[in-house]
Amino acid sequence: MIRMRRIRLADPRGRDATVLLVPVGESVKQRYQDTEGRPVRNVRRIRATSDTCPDALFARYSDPDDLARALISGDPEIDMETTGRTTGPCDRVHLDGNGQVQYAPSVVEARFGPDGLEKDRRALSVRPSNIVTPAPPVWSGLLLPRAEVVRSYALTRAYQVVHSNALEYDFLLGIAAYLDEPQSMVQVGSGRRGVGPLILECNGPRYRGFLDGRVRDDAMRLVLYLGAFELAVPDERL
Amino acid sequence: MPTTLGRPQRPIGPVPADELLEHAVLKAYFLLPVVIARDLHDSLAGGDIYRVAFRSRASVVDNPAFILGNGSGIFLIQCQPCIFEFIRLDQPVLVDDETDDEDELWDDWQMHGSTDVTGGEQ
Repeated sequence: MIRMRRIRLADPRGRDATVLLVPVGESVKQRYQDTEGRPVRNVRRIRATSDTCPDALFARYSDPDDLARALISGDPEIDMETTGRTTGPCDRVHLDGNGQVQYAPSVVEARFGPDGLEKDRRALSVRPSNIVTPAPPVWSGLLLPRAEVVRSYALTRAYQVVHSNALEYDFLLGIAAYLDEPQSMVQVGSGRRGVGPLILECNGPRYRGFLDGRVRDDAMRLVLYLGAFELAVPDERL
Repeated sequence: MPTTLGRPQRPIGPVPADELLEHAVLKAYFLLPVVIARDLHDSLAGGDIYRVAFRSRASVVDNPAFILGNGSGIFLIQCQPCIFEFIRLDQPVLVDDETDDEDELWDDWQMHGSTDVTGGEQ
């Protein structure tokens, strides 16, 4: 089973569809296995509860010597019923200074100087993902030769665009054939002209998107490349 | 494998741009050549791309690197190979819509932000 995102794409005819993005980088990641060759998987386990976490223990034992003796004699840092259990799916919550759950916290961004002192704080700006938009995406029509794109941008992420039904396949095949003939890539992005930045996850980095398409016999290959930055040197470095 | 720093490396190529498109970029370095052969300089200025071994320290992983030039200068791009495949209509795709919750670190905070998801233009 592959974990994948969705993206709403437009084609040269102005039609659009929401299709799947497969993160191809994962296919070459290093895999770990145990001594018997079985694949290793990560499991999240409970380490401490609100009663046994360090903050709670420091509050309960104000004297460090008392805490040390208690740790040796009674293991107050371990909840025998809970510690070590697998968590399953989790929700993230915010706690106040007393370990109580905050139900409507106001999250702020605090900025610190090199001296470690807080300089200012402001409301956290949230930048939502924009790859599946309520408004129809726009075909930018900005075709660039492949060689020019690879020499101009650091394409740090790549996703193979795939279909989940026959209509989507025809849609993607049309784009791939359109791009394969001039051996060019088309810029994919947000905004009215379709050249704005792509943001894959909430508050994630902004990318410049390029779509590369190829057709071989009855098969096609459509890849979305994401450029994190331009290959250029800031003036102050020159 | 030992580091390549401080050791002479022979660039391989020029290689087609399509070869670089089979990789994802891990790091990019701006190169300041102390001395560069005229033919290599002209080749890079003309848009050629070369593959070269590059390991900043000893490593068991041998990710390829490419040297290329553009109007800003000469760059060394360290890459990770990607495996793309041609897919047909009848090729099954197994879909799991749930992305890892660690990917959506800020998801809980959406209630405090704007609901505009159209993005901006550069």
